[in-house]
Amino acid sequence: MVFKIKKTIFSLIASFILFLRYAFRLFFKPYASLRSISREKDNTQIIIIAFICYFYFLFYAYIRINTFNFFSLLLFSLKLFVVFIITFISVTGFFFVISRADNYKINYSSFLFTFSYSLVPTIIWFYTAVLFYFLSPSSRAHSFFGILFSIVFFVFSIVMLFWKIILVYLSIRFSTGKNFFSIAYFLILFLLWFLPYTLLLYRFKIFRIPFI
Amino acid sequence: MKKNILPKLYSKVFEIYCIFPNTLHHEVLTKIYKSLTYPLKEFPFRFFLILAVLIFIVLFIILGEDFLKLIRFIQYGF
Repeated sequence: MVFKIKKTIFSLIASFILFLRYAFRLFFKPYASLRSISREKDNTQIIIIAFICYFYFLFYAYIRINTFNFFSLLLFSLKLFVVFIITFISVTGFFFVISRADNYKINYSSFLFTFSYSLVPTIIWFYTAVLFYFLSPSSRAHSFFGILFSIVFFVFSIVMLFWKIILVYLSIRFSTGKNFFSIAYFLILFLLWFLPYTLLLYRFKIFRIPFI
Repeated sequence: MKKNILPKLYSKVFEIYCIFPNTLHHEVLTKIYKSLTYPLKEFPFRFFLILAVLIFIVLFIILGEDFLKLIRFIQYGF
């Protein structure tokens, strides 16, 4: 029994180290990293990424509700987390279904891994935005340093967006094996339903910028 | 030593050639695509940063004061 617990803990630590290694490599060599990630089999890494995402929703719930009431925080964060899971499964399921139309050898786990790791820029951006809101709330845009901060944050956001686009493209490329034109076609089809979905999330005050 | 290297080499080669090379079915387009994407494979942030600053300058010139509204939307977009 003790041996099994030890084995589980060590396996968790190993998966976490692998996750950090991949996340670090994604920064310097996104192409080679996602190529390795698409062949991963360790599902614990996906659970670690999901846990990091849930922790963000918990932190955001505290800022939004401004209370330490555990039940309220749990409800609010779980609501956001469920919407995030639905969005994630819809996005990966969409690409899996349309790419499987002419190739039955494609498997869903490759999409799960690559799209999970493509969440790294999303996680970094959302954590940074919430942290800066927490450390220096509104009305910071009116001073000189406030304007300077806004410029730096805008450039940082655009860089994260480019990184995200590259990772999504490479995720589809390594999961489906399709060429550039096919991927561009898939992305156009994807945006046809995802943009109205994003507006819906904004309309119902769930996400201003979608967490995906 | 050789017994350990060969399986690793085999799996690495298999990983590298797991997908067909990307072509745009046209020689010139493929060359342009390869030349544009090759620098993005390793540390692409040096290009992202330059592009982001250029986009900022262009948007600031085009939008003017409305650009601050866009920045504020992004800042509170979480």
